[in-house]
Amino acid sequence: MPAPRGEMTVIFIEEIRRTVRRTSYVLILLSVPVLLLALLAIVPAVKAFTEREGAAEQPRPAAIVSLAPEVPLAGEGPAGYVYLSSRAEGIDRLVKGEIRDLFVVPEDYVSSGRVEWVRKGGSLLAGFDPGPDAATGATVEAVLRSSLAAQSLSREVLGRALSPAAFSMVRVDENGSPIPADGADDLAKFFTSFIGGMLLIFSIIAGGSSLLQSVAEEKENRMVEVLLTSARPFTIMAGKVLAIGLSGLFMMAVWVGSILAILPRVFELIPGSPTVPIDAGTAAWVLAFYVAGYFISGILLAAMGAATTGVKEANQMSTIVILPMVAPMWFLAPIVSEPNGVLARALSFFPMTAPMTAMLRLAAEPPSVLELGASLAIMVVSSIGLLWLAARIFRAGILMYGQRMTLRRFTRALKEAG
Amino acid sequence: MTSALQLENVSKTYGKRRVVDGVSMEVSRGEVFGLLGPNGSGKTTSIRMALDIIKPDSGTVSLLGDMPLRDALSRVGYLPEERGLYQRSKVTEILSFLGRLKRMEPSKAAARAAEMLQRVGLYEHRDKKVNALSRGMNQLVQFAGALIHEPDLIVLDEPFSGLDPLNVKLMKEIIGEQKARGAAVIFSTHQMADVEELCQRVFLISDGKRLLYGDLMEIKRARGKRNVRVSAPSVLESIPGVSRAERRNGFMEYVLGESLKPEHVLRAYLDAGLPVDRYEVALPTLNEIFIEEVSRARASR
Repeated sequence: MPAPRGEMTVIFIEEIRRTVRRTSYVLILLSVPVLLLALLAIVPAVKAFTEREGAAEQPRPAAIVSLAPEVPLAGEGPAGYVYLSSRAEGIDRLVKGEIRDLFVVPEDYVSSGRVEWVRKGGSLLAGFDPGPDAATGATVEAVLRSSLAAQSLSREVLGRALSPAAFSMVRVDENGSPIPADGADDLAKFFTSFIGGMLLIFSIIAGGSSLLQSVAEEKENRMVEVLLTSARPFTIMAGKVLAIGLSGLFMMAVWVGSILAILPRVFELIPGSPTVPIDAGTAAWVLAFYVAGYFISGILLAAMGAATTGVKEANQMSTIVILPMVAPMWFLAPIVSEPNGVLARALSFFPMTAPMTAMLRLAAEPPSVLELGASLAIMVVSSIGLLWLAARIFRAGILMYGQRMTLRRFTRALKEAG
Repeated sequence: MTSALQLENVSKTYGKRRVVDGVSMEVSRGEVFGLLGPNGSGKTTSIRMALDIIKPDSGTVSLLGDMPLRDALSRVGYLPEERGLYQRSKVTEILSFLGRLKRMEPSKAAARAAEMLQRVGLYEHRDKKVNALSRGMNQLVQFAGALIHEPDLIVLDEPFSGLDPLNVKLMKEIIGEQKARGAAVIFSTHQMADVEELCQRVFLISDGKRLLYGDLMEIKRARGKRNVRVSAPSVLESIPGVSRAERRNGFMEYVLGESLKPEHVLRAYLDAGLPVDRYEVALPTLNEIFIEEVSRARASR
């Protein structure tokens, strides 16, 4: 026969049950996968429409410039491709928009296999492009192979003709000057951190607010008194916060899982589209800060629910917690431009701003492991302290029925509840 | 008889106001105990301190003898004055949750939930959400929740408010059953008639202080037989020496002044030549005692 469960487990299970049954939780949980599935359905339709529209236009050709003596290019290229004589001319025509892509075969092509893929402009997502789309890549390779094959077949040339080209992307600005390449690693870090930060904001609003409403509702309907005759306030709050934490993690798992499972399929449908880079090390830090941030916001929102008179007032007051949690977004520019500056560092050691700041810093230039660890440790210790305080507020809240929360009333109730 | 609850000189101050002032009381197992007092007298604060919802500033609380506090609290059933349940939960789910909170095995809690719902006549509503129930039904569900784990101490704060007479009768029957199985029931109310019907002993508190404490009949007897009821075709609205005369349903009730004896009322009727159908000397009602004691305490403040 199963043994009776501890009070914390009972509260934990009940809170999970009530949370996951909330319509708002289910809607927010499903929002990301549904959105991605909708994209999966819409993209082929948009693609077909665009292709129909595009068919009427004269497509811009891609250009190939060969600087390698073993790869002379003469005459007309295949349909949609032109041969140019110099890199400068190619860049000039690229900048003017006369060609869509420029491929430059360097002098050492036979030994290196490298081909520059020059594109116009640079963007945040520039580094997501791993290479030209499959059709273009195959055409360029076919041109190079046929040119190589027309030469005297030394072992080296034969080897190169049989090996695929290695495209390396170079971006040029409006003047044709090269734009420093964002490394794929950096972009992966940015992508992972930025998505983590966004998920944290949505989770706090969805999950943390759910806990706030749950506690405020208990106070409003006096269930709090029944709970307090059954378990210690700390036990009650810990059970609730763990439950909301688990439901939040589940939500994040569903979101991240659906991003990883569905987004690549969406990108597969778009020629030359980006891949989804995830940096494992950064993801681990993001996850740690996400969990810690989620717990801290959950505890603070629960305390807010206990201190206010009811669900309505609790919702109004929730901004007191949510704003500091998302405040680092206001300082996005200084944090990203100076990720190891005074502001970024200071915000990393304040429990409420630390999670978002850490994610932004990870996106820009990862801080040292020691610094990240210290920030995380402060958050963990703060969580325990805040949980203790929230438990006291939970008890004190029953002395504030029907009273609007003021600092004076609040401190008095804390003292009087014992 | 073993003590179910003992308060020793318990006090609590909110701000500058002493809401409970040196209260001591003992409630035994197997009794229904009335905790009375006007609004804001300190009843709910006393209950909250007894149940460790808030801590007393001074004094001691002992629940169910020497049992450790958390163990003792798991043997307590509590129905707070202002009530509510999780509105979006189903009736059986919430009862089962309340049972598990009181350390019941999940299967036993579910079985007891069904049993209690049958007892309060709400079994057919077991799968409904709480917000689909009427206020009275809601109250019965919470009452069932307070009793689901067969507690040794049951604290009911205004349990009958908002209930129709049939449900009041049902609840009184169930309280009687709890007493019969040996549970102590603390019953806080303003309805003096209910206290007279259910309670053996009472505690009257006003402004945080004890006014009366003890056996209800002894308290009444100690006041003396100062009430005279007369049924007659024509009644006397006033009699010299009577402090209060009230027309009740079918009879006249006279509360005697200090110097007046009960037979003086009968003599007044005979002297006036009025025939008397029925003449009865009665103990004072709890309601009268309540009003008298609280009024006196407030006057002396």
